Amino acid sequence: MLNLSTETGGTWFRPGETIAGNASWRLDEEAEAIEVRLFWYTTGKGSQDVGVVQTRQIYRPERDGNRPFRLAVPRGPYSFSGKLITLAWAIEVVALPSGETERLDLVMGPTPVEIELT
Amino acid sequence: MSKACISRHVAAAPRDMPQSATFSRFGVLDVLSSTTPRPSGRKRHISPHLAGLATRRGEKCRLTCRAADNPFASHHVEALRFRSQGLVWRDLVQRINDLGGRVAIVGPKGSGKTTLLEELARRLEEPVVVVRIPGSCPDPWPTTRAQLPHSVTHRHAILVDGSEKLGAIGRRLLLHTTRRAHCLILTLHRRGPLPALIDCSTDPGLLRNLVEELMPTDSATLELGLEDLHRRHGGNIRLCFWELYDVYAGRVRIEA
Repeated sequence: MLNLSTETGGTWFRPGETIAGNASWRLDEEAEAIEVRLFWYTTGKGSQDVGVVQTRQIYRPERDGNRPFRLAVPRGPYSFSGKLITLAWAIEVVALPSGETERLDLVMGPTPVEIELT
Repeated sequence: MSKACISRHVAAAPRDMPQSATFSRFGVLDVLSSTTPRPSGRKRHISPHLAGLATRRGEKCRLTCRAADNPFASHHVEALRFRSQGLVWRDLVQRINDLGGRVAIVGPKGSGKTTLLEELARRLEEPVVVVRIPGSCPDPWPTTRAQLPHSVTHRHAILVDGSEKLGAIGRRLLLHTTRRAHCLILTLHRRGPLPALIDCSTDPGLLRNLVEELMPTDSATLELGLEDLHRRHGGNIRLCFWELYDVYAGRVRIEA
């Protein structure tokens, strides 16, 4: 079981801000590493693009543990959505090599809601 | 149940570390189980909208849909797992060994070659390296080589997606570079330099099955059109999903 949370509980971050949070896990089997990834991704019609902007790795983690993390939000791209494409931000915590994953969706931009394309 | 990991394609595991987790498609659906659970992160969609969408020719379509909420959006489609359709994985792995460990998954576009390759990556016991050949590059070999371990040894299982894009010379370089690998599996549109492990194909039943997973509450609305859709796209499931994406997004009307 993996878990992710931000210090404030919020999921909206402005460009340049720092995301402070905590990753916790309780694993059924030994993991080689736990990775926390800040990334954006597109989804919609066609193929998916993903850009990982920062990762934090914990090698040989204990089976039951937690770590705080701090990730700097870049200047862009902002979260936006239309009928054909959505660009979304998220943090994932991934146990390797099992691939078990937990994700926290974020909004990144000057306003607390994603930009709507019309 | 684990969520589908979106950041998998670009997160690089250290070289020579078992890499299956880097690209794996997240234990959402066990192809050997009799049930087909949904990825936990997937939202359900509003059936009245789709019912309104299935209009007769000339009627207005009122649906508006954010791309991420479209059930046929890429992150939902890419989380689908390979349907075994009677395939026994143990037999398939045995066949790889019987054929000398160097085989091809053959099939036309949209027939499930990549999905099968990724399923095999999860199931092989050796350290797996999945190589994705870029489609837009005039000379894809340097990019391909960069994805391979510096020194390919008998410990490695090399899985190459889209190897037809390499061309004859690139494929020859690939076969030479990976000659010591424990296992080499390519995807190809046609039978080629390696013996075929399996010929991938699709049928309307498979499309129906996948659509039911993507939109379990609404799939009956579309059912009548799926056979025709499959036929029109020559069995290319990817193109079928793109058309269904447009239908759901209100960009195309179903002609009932």
